[in-house]
Amino acid sequence: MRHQKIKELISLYLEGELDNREKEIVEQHIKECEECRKEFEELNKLEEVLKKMEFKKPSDEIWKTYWSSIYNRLERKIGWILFSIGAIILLFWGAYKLIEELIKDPTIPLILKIGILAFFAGAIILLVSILREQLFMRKRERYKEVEK
Amino acid sequence: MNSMKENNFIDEKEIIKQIKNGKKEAYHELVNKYMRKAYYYALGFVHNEQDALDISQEAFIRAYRKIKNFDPDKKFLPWFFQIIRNLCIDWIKKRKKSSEIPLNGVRILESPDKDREMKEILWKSIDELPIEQKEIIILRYFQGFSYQEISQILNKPIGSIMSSLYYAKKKLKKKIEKYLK
Repeated sequence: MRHQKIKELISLYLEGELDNREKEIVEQHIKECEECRKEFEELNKLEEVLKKMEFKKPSDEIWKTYWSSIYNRLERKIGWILFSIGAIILLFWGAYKLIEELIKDPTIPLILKIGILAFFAGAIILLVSILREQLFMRKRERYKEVEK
Repeated sequence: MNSMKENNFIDEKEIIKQIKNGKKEAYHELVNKYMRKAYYYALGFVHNEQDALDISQEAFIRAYRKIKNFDPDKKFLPWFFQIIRNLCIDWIKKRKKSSEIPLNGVRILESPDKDREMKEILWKSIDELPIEQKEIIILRYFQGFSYQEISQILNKPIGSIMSSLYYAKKKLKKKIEKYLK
């Protein structure tokens, strides 16, 4: 067997991933091959160090408040969505009523009526454009690609 | 051992069914089960406790919103870890901080002082590995996942994971060669 293949097997041997037959092949080979024996010893030391590595544990407080923080954020996001929907409906209704009144009122000069109508039409176009952009971005969002 | 894993999977399937039916307490159970794994997985990318905490919690929020589309016949963790992974990659792109590695986030158990220099070099070297090799090292050694689980999380064949890990270890071995003699 080629040295390269044996070296890959050595790594798996040290992780305890080989069956008995493969283990025998590795053991036999390193008895006879100095280069692979050296590889075995070095990988063994590396394995020991890697197995002892771990991330520093954070304070227990983190775990105590972990769920409540998620719950609050979930709740807040739902709150914001409802608030935004309500605000949009109210704004549109208010604008509609205001425009209706303006058009009916003969005392308001025509130029002012045009100005106010242009203002609201612009605001609506901007709002729709932002909403469409958001919707488009959601469709392209990378997390939608996550395998289900 | 296998039957224990099987039972866990059946329990998890039941929990996910309940979450889909709108039971928030069931999601609480799932969060408790995986919060530590989620946090440490994110920490491996971002090296910062607060950001790892934020990202792992944001991942749970996103998973909750998408869980209706999740196939309960599949395991939750690999799907969920992909969400964390994507959030972390976005975080790294935004901050371009991936090369900053405070060692104080990592420790080696029972390590005498004479190993300090080696462990600093080793951790720095792990951090400099290509992202996939680094992930495999973290999943395998810091989180204790099996090859089968890593293959599901990274959506790659087991053989390719084994080979990547070998090449990652080869690089690490070279970096700390003088300490291994």
